[in-house]
Amino acid sequence: MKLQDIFFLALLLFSLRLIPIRRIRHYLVLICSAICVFKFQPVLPIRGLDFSLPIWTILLTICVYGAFSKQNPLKSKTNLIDAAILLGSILLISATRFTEYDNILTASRPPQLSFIVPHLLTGAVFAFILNISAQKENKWQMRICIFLIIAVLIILKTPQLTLIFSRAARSLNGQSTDLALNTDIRWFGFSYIAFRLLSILIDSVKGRKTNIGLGEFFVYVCFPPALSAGPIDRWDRFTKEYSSDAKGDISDDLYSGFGQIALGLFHKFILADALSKMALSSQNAGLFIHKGWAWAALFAYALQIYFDFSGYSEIAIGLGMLFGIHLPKNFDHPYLKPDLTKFWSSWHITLTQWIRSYVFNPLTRSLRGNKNHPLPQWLIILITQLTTMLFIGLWHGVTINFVIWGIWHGFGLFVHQLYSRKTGPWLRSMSTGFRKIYTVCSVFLTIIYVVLGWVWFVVPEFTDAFSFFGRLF
Amino acid sequence: MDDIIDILTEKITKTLLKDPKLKLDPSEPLISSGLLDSFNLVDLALIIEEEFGVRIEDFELNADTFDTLSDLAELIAERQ
Repeated sequence: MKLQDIFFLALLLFSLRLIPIRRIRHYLVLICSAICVFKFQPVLPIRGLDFSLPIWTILLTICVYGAFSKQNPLKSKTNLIDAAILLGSILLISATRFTEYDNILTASRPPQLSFIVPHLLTGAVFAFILNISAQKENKWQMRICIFLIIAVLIILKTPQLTLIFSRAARSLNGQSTDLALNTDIRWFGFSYIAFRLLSILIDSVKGRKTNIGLGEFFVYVCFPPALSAGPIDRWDRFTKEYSSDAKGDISDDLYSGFGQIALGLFHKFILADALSKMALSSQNAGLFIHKGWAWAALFAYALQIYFDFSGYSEIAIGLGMLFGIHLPKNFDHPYLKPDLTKFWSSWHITLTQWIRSYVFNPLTRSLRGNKNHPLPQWLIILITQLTTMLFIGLWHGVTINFVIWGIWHGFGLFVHQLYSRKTGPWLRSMSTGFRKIYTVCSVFLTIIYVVLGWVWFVVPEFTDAFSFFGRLF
Repeated sequence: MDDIIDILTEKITKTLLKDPKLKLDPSEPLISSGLLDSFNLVDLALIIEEEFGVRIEDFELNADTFDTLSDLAELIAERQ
């Protein structure tokens, strides 16, 4: 999100909140959310793709709704109106092509109707197939959606695969395949959208009741403040608050909302941007001669990524408050935590909680619950921590450096958990003064371990990262 | 409710934390304080399922659902 987008959203969301009639407010929020899906999508060099991907964000959300919805969504008048508003919004946005403001809502001039109609028809066919059985006892529709979303996520996160798809799209469009780059296909917010969609699909497969309307589901998936970088709220919490008439005290929200936005702007646009001037990057990793400067650049990067990301989250939370939605906290002073487990409970909290809910807990439960072939506790901790952290690493990108970064943290968590199990009772028996000194030392050790891990995150080439470690010691 | 708290206290201190001398207050935070880690939480869910026949789902194993012994005992009593 650019600075002007943030100010515009703040004004828009607060104005929407002031609309007294709930139904009208909901319809306008739907239209605005759909517009933001298009508005935030960056320009792409493949013709029509920066219009096509936002269309698919909307269609995919409708299709997923059709897959998990217990009743036939077409029998509900409210759902039909919501679907009509969403599809109407796509057509409305595409109609800007015929005005002089032809890229006011989109990254580039919207394509012709003949380009858009096949998308809508394909989406309609998918939605029909996925909703073919109203009972959905065998849940195959939801499993197909889970598979498709994960497949798209893997393609978008794997540079080699995006390059193949970029070449294919370019050749279909009659554009030069020699100019294809892996950055040609950037689907705005898909990492977050995918996790929101997956959470409701997995919950439905497990048999949870998901009685929500299409419109509120779409607003949950594409809520404009959280579209670019989270937080990844839980669908049940979000939709409950969204549908509730009691949205909290307006003056409190206004005060706290603007406070959060101001703090976020300061963190993101002043601190993080200033730190980026001296922070470690893939370009400057090989240039440091002095150890001291190498450490300074590494710490500057650690702070930059924190202020950049937490700043974004604070802005999103603040914008949500202006509308009356209280998005969950995403960061809680992670660099001041005395161990790696607590660091991960306070860094990108909503992603960590998502992974815990859908990867770590089910995996641990199945391994611990297997009484016939019990595995030793240390092995279960190793398997679950490595799997979880590998998953978080791969979510950032399917590349070797993120794999190493994931293993780095998975192994660190494994060692910490074994250590804390052995030393927990001993530490609790110590005096308060000793525990304070111990905590200070632990914070220092944890921060060093986390900061060293960032080398893998920021330097993509293994040899470059290794040589940077050589410069540090 | 007190019976549930007593059983939970014993299971947490003896089985999970291996620290039988530890005193737990029913209003003391267990998760947000870091006393129970993510691995302990899954074990706790399995113990509760076995002991009380109450299932705590994977997405519920966090401080938002329960953080203290009292919260947890209330949750179990509600679902029994």
